[in-house]
Amino acid sequence: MTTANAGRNVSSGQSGPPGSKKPWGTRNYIVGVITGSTTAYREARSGYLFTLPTLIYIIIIFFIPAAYTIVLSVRNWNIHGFGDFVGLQSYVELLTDPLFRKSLVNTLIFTLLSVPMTVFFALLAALAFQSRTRLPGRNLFKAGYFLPLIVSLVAVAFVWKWMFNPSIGLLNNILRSLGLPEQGFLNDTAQVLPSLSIMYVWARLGFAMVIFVAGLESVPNDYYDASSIDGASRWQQFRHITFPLLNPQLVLVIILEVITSLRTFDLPYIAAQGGPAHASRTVVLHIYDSAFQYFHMSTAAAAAIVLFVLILALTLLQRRVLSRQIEY
Amino acid sequence: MLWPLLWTLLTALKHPQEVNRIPMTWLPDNWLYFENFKTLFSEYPIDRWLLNSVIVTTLSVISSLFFASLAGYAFAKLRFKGKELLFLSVIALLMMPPEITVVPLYLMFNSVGLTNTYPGIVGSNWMTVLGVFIMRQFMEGIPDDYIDAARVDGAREFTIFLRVALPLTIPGFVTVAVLKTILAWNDFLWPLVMASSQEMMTITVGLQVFSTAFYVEHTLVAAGALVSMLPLLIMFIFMQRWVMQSMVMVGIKG
Repeated sequence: MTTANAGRNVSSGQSGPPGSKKPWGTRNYIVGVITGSTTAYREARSGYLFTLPTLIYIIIIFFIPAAYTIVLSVRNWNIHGFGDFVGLQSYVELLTDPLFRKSLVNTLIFTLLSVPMTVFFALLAALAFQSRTRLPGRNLFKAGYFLPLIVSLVAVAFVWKWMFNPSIGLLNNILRSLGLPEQGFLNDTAQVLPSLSIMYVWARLGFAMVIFVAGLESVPNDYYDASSIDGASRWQQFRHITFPLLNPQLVLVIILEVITSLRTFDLPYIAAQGGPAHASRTVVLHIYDSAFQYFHMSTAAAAAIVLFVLILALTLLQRRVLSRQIEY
Repeated sequence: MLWPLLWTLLTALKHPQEVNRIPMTWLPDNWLYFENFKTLFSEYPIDRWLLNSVIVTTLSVISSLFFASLAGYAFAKLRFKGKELLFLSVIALLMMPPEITVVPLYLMFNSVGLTNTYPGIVGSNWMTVLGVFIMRQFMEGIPDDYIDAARVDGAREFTIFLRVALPLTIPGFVTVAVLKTILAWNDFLWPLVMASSQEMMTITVGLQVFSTAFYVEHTLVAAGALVSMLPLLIMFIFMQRWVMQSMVMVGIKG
């Protein structure tokens, strides 16, 4: 991005703002912008006007809520309104609440189950659908993998809930016809998170795949041609060319998927109502429950801060670890 | 991959009793059985939910597009003080998942009486910071000479934006439109919190009435899910290239 000062060359050929020694003196600048005295000032005024909605948005949606959340979390706030300053009490209560701890653990398990599966299958699909493989009808297949992404997770949850139905659902029907034991899926405390992960992977696969395909298409064919001449096998090509060059996309997809799965709400809320026995309760479900079912706004705010810190910490950690560990 | 969607279609076309058959049958007995859809529309205010979704999505998309491309143009082509700081704030906002601010935003919207109204349900969807990024990306591709030439001709910045910059960045514009349509149509947590009466629910929120209802026919759920997906599925069929492009652009933000 160009900086405001660098390379100033007022477009219409007029000279810069008055006092070219200190062209951006704040006071002159403000006066200039308001009066629109030169082209440069008029340009700046347009800049402010054009980005004003963005500024308002950032303040309303970002700064005020962020400050509000912090205030909420250290005050005793409930349906009756403003309460006293209670310091870190909400955090202490939250972290000693077995229900919150369970939802935290569930969320992490869910992420650990979902992200590697998504990345693995998306990578396989992307390798199959890149133009180098020349798969017949690849665009049609690609679209098929991509389609679930535009369907809302609410609809996804309904569709899969029905397929996972223990008595009349599709999956148990198939298991039955193969003579295998029926499973509880969403009704089983041990199986509910893996079942939800399957839904998640199905829904999110297309996104990762498209990013990978875009990354693969940017790898020059010469690399493969050269390595073929040197007698490299397909696996060696993947290991030493494709995989290292796909590193930026891999890092990006993993980070985005981790964030997305940590935010999971729709799937467990619709498909399992957080159950059975809170086995699929996630952090966002806990926030929603605390705030909008029990009106414990302070608890919800504290939980939101915990989630934010978790997301931030994991994102920073991944940026460091992932970008470094993959060798070239 | 397409099986769950196909299965939804097949289930929606089945008689409610066919669904409970053991062993299961794959195909519906009667392919022209549309009773489920009739029941759906007569027993639930689905048409109202669809209308709400259309209104909310349209409002979101139009205002997001307008503001995002304006900002994108300013960030790419205009020089003004504090641009970097503002742009940094945009980047910071991208890392803020909406789930984290849902509680304070709800309290803020509630205190100004916006709950259960269309502006309230549009909520934070009236702008897209991701769209600002995408538009900026495209606007940077416009040669400065074009803009300078227009300035020499005495055009105002807004005219330049409208008549020079926008026509040259139509692909970006469509990409943002598609992306925003998907996001706004599928938004769930916020409209769930905002719409307190059934009349104001969007289709995604309306659908979850099924999950809390004591007993619902599976065929109805399938039909409902299908109806909620249909507009985006149609869009996908006609605008596949743009949808994929929008996702690749989402990737670029990293």
